[in-house]
Amino acid sequence: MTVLSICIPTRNRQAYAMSAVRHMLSSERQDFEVVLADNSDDGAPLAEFAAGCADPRLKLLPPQDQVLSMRANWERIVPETSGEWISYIGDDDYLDPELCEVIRVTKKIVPNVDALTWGRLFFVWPEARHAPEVTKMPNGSHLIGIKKEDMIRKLFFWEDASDRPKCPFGVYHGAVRRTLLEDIRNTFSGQYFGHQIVDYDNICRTLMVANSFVYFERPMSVFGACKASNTMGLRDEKAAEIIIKTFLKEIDGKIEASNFPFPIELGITAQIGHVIEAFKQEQGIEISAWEDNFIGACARNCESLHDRKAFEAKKEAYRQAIIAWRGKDALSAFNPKYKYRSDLPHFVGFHDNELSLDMGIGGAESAAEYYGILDTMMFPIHLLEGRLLS
Amino acid sequence: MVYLTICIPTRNRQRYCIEAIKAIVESDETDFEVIVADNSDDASILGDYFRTQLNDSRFRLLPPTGTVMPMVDNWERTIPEVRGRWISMIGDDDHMDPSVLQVIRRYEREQPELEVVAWGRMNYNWPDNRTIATLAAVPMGHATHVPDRKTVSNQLYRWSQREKRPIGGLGIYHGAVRRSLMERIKRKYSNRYFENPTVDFDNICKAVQEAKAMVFCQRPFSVLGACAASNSASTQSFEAMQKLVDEFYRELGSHERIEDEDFPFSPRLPGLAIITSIASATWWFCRKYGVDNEGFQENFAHSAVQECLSSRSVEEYKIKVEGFRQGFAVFEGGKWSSHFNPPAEFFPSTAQNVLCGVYKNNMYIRESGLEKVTTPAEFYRFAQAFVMPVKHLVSARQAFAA
Repeated sequence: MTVLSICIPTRNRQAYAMSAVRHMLSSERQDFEVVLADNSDDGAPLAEFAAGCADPRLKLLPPQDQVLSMRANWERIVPETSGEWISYIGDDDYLDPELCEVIRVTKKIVPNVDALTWGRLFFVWPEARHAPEVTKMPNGSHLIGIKKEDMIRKLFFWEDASDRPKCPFGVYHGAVRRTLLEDIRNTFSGQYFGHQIVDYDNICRTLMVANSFVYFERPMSVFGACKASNTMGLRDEKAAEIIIKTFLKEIDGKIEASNFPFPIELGITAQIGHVIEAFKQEQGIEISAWEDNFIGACARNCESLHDRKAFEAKKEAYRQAIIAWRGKDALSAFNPKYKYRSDLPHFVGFHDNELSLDMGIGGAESAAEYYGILDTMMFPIHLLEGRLLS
Repeated sequence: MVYLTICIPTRNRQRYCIEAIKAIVESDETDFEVIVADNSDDASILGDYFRTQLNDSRFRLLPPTGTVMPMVDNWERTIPEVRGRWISMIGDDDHMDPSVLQVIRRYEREQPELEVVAWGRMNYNWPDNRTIATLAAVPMGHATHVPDRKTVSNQLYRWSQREKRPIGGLGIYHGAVRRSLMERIKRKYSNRYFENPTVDFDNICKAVQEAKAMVFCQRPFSVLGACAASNSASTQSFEAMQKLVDEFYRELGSHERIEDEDFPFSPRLPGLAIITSIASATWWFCRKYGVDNEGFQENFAHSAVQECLSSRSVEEYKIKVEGFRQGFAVFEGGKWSSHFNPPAEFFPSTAQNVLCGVYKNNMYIRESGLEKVTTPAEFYRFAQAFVMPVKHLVSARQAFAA
């Protein structure tokens, strides 16, 4: 039986996708499958790769005649999967098939669990790294039941948000039961994925429909960022412009919510704001007293910038959007401060149950290699059940 | 005169020793030297390496003397050759980062009387020494402590922590001792730098007793390597431990016996070589030099229980318990037997040697997963990705970006 379907939508980044799949298939587990949805201009490289793998655990969905939107490419995968659980990652990311064991143990402890997620690892591929980067590895290994109402406050009310809401449950770098995805399709618009910004759209829907949420502190996947990835747009303002242009060219629906005058070019906070607003408007959800938290997140989006000019420009743009949205009085919650200090090095070492480390550790060349290296330093999955039962 | 001398005594493990040398050669530091004291049967391997391949004036070779020396004598002959203000010793399958001298300089500026510097040590098993699942360990702290001599003395001479081992580190082995202190030790203790065959603890006992000031830096600067032929490898198997103990006795020479007549815990007891060697050394030192170690016997009985509880199997547990029982039955007329109370039933941990992650401020790493890391020096470089950079220790930096 296939416990887990790891879905990898990809477009024109075949080398990255191959790297991830190759490592996944080196696992001895037989209870997972990888479904690679190729939306590239040239279908040949991945077709050759899949033929070369000759592994029944790998399923390739070839490109269609026309380039699909990211949403449509995500949408077409679900019917092709056979796993009881489904997880999506980007083509420059990695996910450990040992997640099957985590799912098995979690189900034993929490039989009705239908949304599972885990700690995060981040990896900038070497060619996209201009200088040494310090990143974090969570050291925890507990399985924690999370209350739905807490997550609702985090997502829809932006409670304790950074520049984005702290609600990690969904199909992207999370796993949901197949039945949950079917419920999502039946409950909402007849589609698995409704909005063009698929990850946060799915978080909204998962949160509304799922019954039981479990968070595993130990990382099971890596968010990768290669030169061409959307994630790079979060780190580089110039790259962001090009990435957004390309994204808009390839969409097949609306991005902006009504009456929400935040241009998506403003940044991640504005973009997620549109997804959540669009979902609320579609479902007729009306809530109040969330605006100040959202405006605070907008401020933190500005504060993430290192360049002072870029900071000032973004601050002014958000300011205008906030005035247009809720009037000048709303600016009382908007107080971004330029905080970047080039003279302060990042801490390297162990603090607050997190390891801060140089991303170049062990000379990792790919997200999969990076995970493999950090896996030697994280709680062994095969001990999870024994520890819980003891 | 250089600031730091790193001594590497070696015997018949030239391959490892050459790796240790190669790794230190890469250091950009200039104010240090390395003395390799070769006690091998075949002098030509290191001799040729020094003559034909190693072109570095920071390194000197003391060739074999013609007859095999006990380890303690090979250490002894090294000190008169030292030109450094500070001296460190490491094993031939270990690694040490010479940049520790920058930190020692900082500490010496802050405490001019400083004579002993200890630091965190990483543990690493060479790929040829992984007969069972193995974990490497990296201390994660970066603070600096000035140890309290009274507390350290209790932990060292009385074994007050009641753990498997007493406090270590505050000595020349994987630590640094000022040359002036070594000379004082020689003058005061039987006209030798080192006496007891358990050389590292011989030096710790004396350094703790004599040092004017000591400092401990949590950040690791060296790697205790364990290759297939090393003493520490013996922890993976009884047979390996037995073989090493036999060899050790054979080469012991005429110096102090490992165990005194009045300390009947022989390193020949199966599985107990390490704890009994250390206990013999601290016991011997206190008896010989009149250092108060009241409470040791009772504490040692509790430490012995901890040693037994670290067994990997019920069989190993029973053998260790039996060994200690025999010792305690005759130790000071059986007076301390009642303090040795290992549980009747023992359940070995399934997580031993496999539980990776940070535990008690040490990062444990599954060694089999580190395919690109094949030597202690490579492991040290690997670990530098997540330990405090040396420059921040040297500048005592406290503020970091959020």
